[in-house]
Amino acid sequence: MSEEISVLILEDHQVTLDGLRFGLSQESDIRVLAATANSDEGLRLAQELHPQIILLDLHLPGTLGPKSMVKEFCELPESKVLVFSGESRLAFVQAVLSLGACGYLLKSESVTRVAEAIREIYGGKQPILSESLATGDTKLTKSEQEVLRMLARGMKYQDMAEERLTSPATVRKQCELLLLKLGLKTREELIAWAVQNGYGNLDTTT
Amino acid sequence: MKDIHEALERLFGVKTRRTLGRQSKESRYLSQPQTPAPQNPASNSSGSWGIQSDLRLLAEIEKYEQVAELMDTKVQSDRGWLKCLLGVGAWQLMCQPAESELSICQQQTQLLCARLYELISHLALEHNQNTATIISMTAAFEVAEKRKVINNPGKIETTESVNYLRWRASTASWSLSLRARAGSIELFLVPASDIMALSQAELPIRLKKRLELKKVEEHFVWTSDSLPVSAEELRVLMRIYFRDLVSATQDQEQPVQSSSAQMPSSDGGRQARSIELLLIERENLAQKVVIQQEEIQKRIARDLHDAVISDVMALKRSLSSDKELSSETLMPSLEGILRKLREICYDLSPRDLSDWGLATVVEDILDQTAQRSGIDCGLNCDIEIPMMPTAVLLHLYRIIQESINNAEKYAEPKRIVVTMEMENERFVVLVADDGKGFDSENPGEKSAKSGGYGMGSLKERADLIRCFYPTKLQINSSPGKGTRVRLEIDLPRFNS
Repeated sequence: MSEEISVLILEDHQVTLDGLRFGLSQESDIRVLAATANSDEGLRLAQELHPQIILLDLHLPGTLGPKSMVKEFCELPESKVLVFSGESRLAFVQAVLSLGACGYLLKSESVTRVAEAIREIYGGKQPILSESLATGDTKLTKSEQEVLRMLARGMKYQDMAEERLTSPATVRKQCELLLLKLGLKTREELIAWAVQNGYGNLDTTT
Repeated sequence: MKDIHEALERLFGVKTRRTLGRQSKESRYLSQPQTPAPQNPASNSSGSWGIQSDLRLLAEIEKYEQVAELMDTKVQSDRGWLKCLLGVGAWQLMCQPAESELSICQQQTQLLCARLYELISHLALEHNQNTATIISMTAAFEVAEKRKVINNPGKIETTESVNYLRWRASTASWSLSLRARAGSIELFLVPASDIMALSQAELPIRLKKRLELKKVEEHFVWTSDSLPVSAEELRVLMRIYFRDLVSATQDQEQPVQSSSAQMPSSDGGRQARSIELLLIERENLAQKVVIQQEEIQKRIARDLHDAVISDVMALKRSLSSDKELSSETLMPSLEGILRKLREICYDLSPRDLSDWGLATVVEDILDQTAQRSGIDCGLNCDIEIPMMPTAVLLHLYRIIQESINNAEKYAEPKRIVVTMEMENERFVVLVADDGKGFDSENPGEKSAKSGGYGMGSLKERADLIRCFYPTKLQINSSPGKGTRVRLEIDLPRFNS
């Protein structure tokens, strides 16, 4: 594979940026087109250079707040967005992914992992997530366990919503969060996971 | 904005034709009934609110007043301003044009006086639309004698006459009074009972502001405490002094209101009573805000002390010890400090709220609560949160946060559910738990711990949202039945 993956980096922490630039330059199949610390400048560069991957920090100087910034970058038709941030709270990770980002890596990752994620996203795989987000620190909440039990018993979103006195959309959202937490891709995988981990066992429903 | 230069010119350009009786003019003009008939200029000029009864001068005043009355019919609201110009014009006559620099000083002072007068009249007009607080606006000039001990061997006391340009805005009990002489303007807040003896009333402690004209390079600049003041700053200053004037007056009026409240069973008495209650409530609210601020400051201090200072001290100790420390051992402790600092900052000002929106932030609170306590926490929100001012969102966020905290702390629930939805034009937030609850009908005595403090602050927040939208807060709870905090905000149609 001689084709190079073009990357634009947005990062306002100079040391991190230097590390990324150097690390990625060691990879023969990745080419860093440009880097900037400012989100407005970054957007302009992205429109001009059409990078295949945009490596994006969440909190950058510029006129855009993080949410609208991620949204703007995700709307660029020719680029895929990989967020690289220190923010590890799941509600925010989920918000970023729902805006259309293809991956979310924590700043604790190595450059090698970043390069790997860039390749994976370029290859069409998504979402790409840091492992600690998927399984590491976060344990399942009671409400998620409840959802897993219902999934394992084969319930539909509609029924689950009724039983939990909430809306199907909310249940769907919870399932998406579970996928994220468990590092799974589809609802079928999630059901399989729930069954495998004993959530289908009626005794556990207390 | 009127061009004051032009108006002045127009006023001064008018030729005088006739002279009228002086005394009536004078007393009317200065609204100073106690001024004796100005037969003897010397004795009169030493008085505080006196006037030099110079023939020429009176003729000039007459002339200006004629013009003012002519113009007045067209511009009703500017009556006071024109009166001020009259005073300015007369004053200018008193000040003999001497060296050019002095006359520039005089001109500048006149202009600023007129401008400040204009500002205060606008404020007064605006304020008087609701209440007739400002009962008079007057402008005049004064020749005062100033005793001066010249530092000479014999310590001879000499007197020096000073020309003052004055205006004042008065309520029933207080007066905002301006005194100006070439290059210097002073503002006083004086009790109305004292204005008859202005020179004695203008005590240093009543001085609100002194503005001085300073020459900087080739230009004259108005300064306050040697710092230049901009037009905008002056506007703000006048606003502040005006507010001081009004609030000083209101403070004075308050006892009158409460005494009338003692009249029972009359309509007036009842009204006064409810006014009094409202005033007490406002006082209480202000008090609570202050207490809350104190609480917050205490908490910041405590958090910083407990969480950060101790860690930094420990770090310092280990760094100053002989043992070489590797960065691997230091990093976790630094990261810990960083995390705690971030938490404190976040608690003080939830930046994430503006960054990510209410739904995401509430979801995060629920996540954290669930992680911490193991309570089954859920968010139902299938709508886009409607556009609302940041202040409203912040109060909403705090109400939700407080409700969740209350539930976690006191109610021992299995489940907390936050619901945000639209009912037509109404935005509804519901925080419900299935915990032990309390008696929301009688939230006194025993349940004070579960209800009291937290619920009170919810009510205050809801009151603050009510400044923007019609808002209803309901707290329903009974022992064993859980607690439901429901907030309804009526948004205008165009907003949704």
